[in-house]
Amino acid sequence: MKNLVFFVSLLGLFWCYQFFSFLGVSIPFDPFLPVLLGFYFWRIKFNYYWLGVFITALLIDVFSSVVPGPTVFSYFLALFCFLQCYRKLALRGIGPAFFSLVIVVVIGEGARLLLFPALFEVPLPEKYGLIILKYILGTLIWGILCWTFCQISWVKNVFESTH
Amino acid sequence: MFFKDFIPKIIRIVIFLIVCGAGLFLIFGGLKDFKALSYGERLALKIGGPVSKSAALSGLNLRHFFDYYLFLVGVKKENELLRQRIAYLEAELAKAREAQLENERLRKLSKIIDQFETSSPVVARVIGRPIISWQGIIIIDQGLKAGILPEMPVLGKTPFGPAGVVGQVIGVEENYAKVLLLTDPSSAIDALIQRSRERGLLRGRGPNKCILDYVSAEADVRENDMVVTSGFDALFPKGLLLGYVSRIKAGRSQGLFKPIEIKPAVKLDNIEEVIVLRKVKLK
Repeated sequence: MKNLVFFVSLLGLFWCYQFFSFLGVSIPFDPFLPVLLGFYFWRIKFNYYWLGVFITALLIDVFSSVVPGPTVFSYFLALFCFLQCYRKLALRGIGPAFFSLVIVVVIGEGARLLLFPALFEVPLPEKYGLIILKYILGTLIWGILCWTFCQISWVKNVFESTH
Repeated sequence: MFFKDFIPKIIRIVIFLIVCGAGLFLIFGGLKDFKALSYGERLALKIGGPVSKSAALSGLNLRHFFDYYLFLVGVKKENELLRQRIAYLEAELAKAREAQLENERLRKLSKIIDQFETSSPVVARVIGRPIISWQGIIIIDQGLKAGILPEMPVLGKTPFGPAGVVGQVIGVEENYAKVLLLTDPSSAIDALIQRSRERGLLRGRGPNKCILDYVSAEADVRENDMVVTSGFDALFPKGLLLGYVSRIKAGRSQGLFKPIEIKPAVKLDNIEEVIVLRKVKLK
């Protein structure tokens, strides 16, 4: 059931994203990375969780990127950083946890929008630095909302009892 | 004891490596075949295509309904009593209006099709837009089954009627195709200034913006000059409308060349239907 909710949520998020896009409202942040980080707390079966991350990243790549891969690699990089620092720092208080969230989002989105496109030799548009900055800021705000949700809801109990 | 600890660890490593290999195979496998999409992308399109299509149709219908509703609000001011009596017909009227608008758009598209010697051009709906707004990728709801292949030109209608270039197909799946818009930084199209026949390379620069590169600093270019395809790149037939000169960056000349900003002829940010040319030759 958890796995079903997980996959339906991701597809639902994707549906909402496209719906708003065709409605004429573009969402200026990455809705998926913070949500995927949040879902980690829900103790979804290991295989399903990583499969979900992989398919979500593939979806983003096929709908956004000229080459396949940037989002897949950057999401895995962000999640690796998350597993290394966030879980440990989160238990030390709100300050370190918040700081690590900032790091994870910046690394994830920076890799997705700058590092991997550069490695794949994808040309970038004008004033790209400013665009990335805005996008990362948007994702960070969205990440804080998701993170707050994780801290105040059932996820917190799961998190505290598991780690 | 040694084997009890060691073998499961080996098995875990082998499984991990197999999973990594499978992942890399999905990401990069199949890129070189005629579909030009990796196996993973095809899988993602199979999963995400229907979801995106339903989202696109819902979003567009709602937007059209809002537009029409706002229009009716204006009518209501003039015919308030009458409007109260026919309020229950609003939904039906909205549907009828939507169908009419679609017919008008398709009729304009069919006029565009008549300009080309093409046995069966494919009209497709746009069902996916980029997750990041500045990226120039769209997904259309026709693919290999409709005879679409990579590198086929994609056209759309312009506000003034004639066909304008939207981009080119860069990957196909059975029922979907991925289109690279001419505004994407990865796009490059050989182009001509129609009036003076000056040649350059049209490159994408983000949303609604292109640059005509490699045009001589002495070239005869004026604002609002029409830019068309040159046909030299063997992808686009000669003479297709690309856009108009919007700005000439005289002060920022790059040595022998002057960069020229081009506004695409087709409004790419709200495009709904496109034509994919399977046989590309102007009449």
